[in-house]
Amino acid sequence: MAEQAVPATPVRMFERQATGLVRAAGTLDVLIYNINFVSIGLMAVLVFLFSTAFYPGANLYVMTLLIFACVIPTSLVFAFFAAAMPRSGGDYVYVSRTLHPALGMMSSWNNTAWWFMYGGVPSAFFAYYGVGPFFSVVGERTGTDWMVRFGNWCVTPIGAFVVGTILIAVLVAIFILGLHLFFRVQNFLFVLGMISIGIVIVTWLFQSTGAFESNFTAHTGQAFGPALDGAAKKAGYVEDGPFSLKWTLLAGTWVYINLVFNQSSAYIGGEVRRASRLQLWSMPAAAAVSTAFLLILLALGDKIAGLHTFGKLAAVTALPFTAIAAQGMNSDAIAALLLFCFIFFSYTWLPGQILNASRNFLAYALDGLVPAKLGEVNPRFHTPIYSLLLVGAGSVGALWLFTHWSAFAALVGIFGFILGFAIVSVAAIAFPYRLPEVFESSPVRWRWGGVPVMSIVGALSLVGLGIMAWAFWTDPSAGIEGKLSTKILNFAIFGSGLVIYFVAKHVQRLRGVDVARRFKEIPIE
Amino acid sequence: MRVYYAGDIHGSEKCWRKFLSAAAFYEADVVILGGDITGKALVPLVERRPGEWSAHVLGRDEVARGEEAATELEKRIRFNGFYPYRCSEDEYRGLEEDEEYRERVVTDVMCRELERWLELADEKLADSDARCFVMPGNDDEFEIDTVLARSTRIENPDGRVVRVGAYQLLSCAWTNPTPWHTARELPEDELEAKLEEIGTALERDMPAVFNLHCPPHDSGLDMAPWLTDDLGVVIRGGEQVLIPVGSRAVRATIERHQPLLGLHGHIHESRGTATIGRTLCLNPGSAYSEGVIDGVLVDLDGDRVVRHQFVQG
Repeated sequence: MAEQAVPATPVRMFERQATGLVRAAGTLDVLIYNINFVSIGLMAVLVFLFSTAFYPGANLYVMTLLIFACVIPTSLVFAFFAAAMPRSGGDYVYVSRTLHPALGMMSSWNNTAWWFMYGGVPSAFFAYYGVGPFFSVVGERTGTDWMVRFGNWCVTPIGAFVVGTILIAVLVAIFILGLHLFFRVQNFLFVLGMISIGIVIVTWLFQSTGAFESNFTAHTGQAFGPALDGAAKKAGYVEDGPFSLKWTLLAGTWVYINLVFNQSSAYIGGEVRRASRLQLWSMPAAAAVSTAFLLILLALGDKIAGLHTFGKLAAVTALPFTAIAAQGMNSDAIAALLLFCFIFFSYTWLPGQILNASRNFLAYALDGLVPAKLGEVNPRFHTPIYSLLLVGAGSVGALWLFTHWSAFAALVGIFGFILGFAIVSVAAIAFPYRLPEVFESSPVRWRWGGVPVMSIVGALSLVGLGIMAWAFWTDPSAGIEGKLSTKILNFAIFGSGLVIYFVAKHVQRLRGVDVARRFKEIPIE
Repeated sequence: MRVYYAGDIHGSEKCWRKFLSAAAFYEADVVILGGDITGKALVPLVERRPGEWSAHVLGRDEVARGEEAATELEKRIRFNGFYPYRCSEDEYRGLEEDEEYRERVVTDVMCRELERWLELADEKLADSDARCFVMPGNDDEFEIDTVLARSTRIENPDGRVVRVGAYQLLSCAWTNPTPWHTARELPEDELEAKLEEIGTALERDMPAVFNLHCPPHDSGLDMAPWLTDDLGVVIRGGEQVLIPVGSRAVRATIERHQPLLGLHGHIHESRGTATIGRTLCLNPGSAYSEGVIDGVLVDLDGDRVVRHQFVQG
């Protein structure tokens, strides 16, 4: 067997002038690509709002590092697949090719369905943590009643539904008209979002606790000390206890919900696999950078007021940390700038969810698994209008559920995602054995003690996913234990991909098409 | 009549072997490989010590010690659609320093490998009733045309109209200009003139299938990453930007002649279907580097397409 080595004078390969040989995307591009989907801003909002308040005995620094450790193997599973099968892009093909087309559909459909369902969550966050706080805080600080009223209305169920629906409609319309406009503004919006985080970091770094507390009290009327303790207790804040690993892990569900989605660059493989190394490290690196930002914010939050105080403020005011930071500032202008910029960080999952779900529908339609109409690309705009409209309508439906049905909390579907990731991890374990030629010809054909590293990574990913499945099952604030309807929802969606596959197979057979033939490998004699 | 169409295997021996088995596997009457059949790179295995070869494969430096390891390494290189080439240190220096010599070696190796492929085809298809068409694409050097012409079992339909049962097949390997300046590229006006010239051989009342390597412009079958001048991928807003890169000449020709079916390749990432007037256009895409051959099965009956199915064999 050939060995990896560093010869004295490196030998190179010679490429012909041939189409498709592109330079790999730049390091920074790929990193931003992945970080964008993690959403540092939303992760911090959820951690400051929930992890600080409702998990007694949780150490949020340990929590962040533990969740990072759980995420990395899953991240590597996608990175290894992206390096080994750079053209395929996504779990649909990874699982279909490695295990079985029906399982590929099951895994992919599970993700699509949850992207569909989760269309409701970030669109509501847009109202809850973006538009609402901006108007209410700026209105309060400038004495503008209509802004306060509008801001408060935004965070009501009907207000969040209306504002979220407008966002979904605007995004779907932009995607129908073509992605160029969206791409043009998205980098700018990402920078705006990061400016909001930057303002918080700089402010908390240099501000004193006294100044923060006095500003906050002056602007909101909420005093600190015993007054806050009493109000927090009434609002359900759970007094902190001794360190608890269980509660630390449970509090981490709010980190995991963001951090696990760091593998987006799996979809931008290069023709000649010079990009493979970049893929390998860029996904874990995106998780690492996002984790570092969260740790910095936690440390500065600890410094400025103490994380327990944030927990109490979250329980009493239900304000995101950005609004708390803004109310702790002296300058109205900087507070307004912070909250305005954060609006563009408050929904960052949504565009990717809509795009990914509609792309998957397009792929299913081409494979005859859903009606062909969903695969039609509009000749004028070159976009899959019917898929986009379907995903948009589904997202509005999910938004209604999220804003009006308490059982459909932000975390309930992550259990479903975990089931999907578990199938991909099993595929990673099996990949070197099921597709040995592809594995041996890939740049990730490493072994430890004779065992393919990819299989080891897949197994570690299953361990991480198992831990997180337990957490999302038992989380008392948004887990699915004891909620029959959400349990049914998770397992029904997980299984529905199989049902769709076999129904489509039957329908297509009546039309003379064998769906199973789609992924059947041609035997070589 | 059942047609199996695939393209863009780019030197992948596994895909070639699968293509040769496709007629039997899919029960197809006609199989078409629509261009870009040769590999994109030469990978020298430099013998630095007797029985020890060094190579750079997929971003890694590797050393093969012994014949068995070298053969295994060559197999992996071929799997990815590249050409392994054993040479001495002196010859490697020649390859590095002398561009003309290098190009000659690459072409020689390419033709030799294709000859081997064709021997395999002649042997494998000897008892098959299916017609087998293999056409070059824009990436294929002109030298391979003479190699293809030697095959007893394979027909190269490029640049002409061929009668296939009750249908006529019009084929063209050429494309509009690409950023890589490949072998068979023409400006749009010249490409349109070329297509029109080939089209003069079409019979008026016979349904036609157009086998055009390049997809029609702005059809959804031609969306490729937008590239910078130095061939970097443009990324905006966390997404790579895709733009239509197909040929306006191909589109105009399809609009004018309205064939029953358009079969296209060239843009690997743009698998899909499009309808231009009454013409169904298909691009099965390509994942050749994974040893998978992306193709499409089309059932034709009279002057209609009964059904089509994308397959990943």
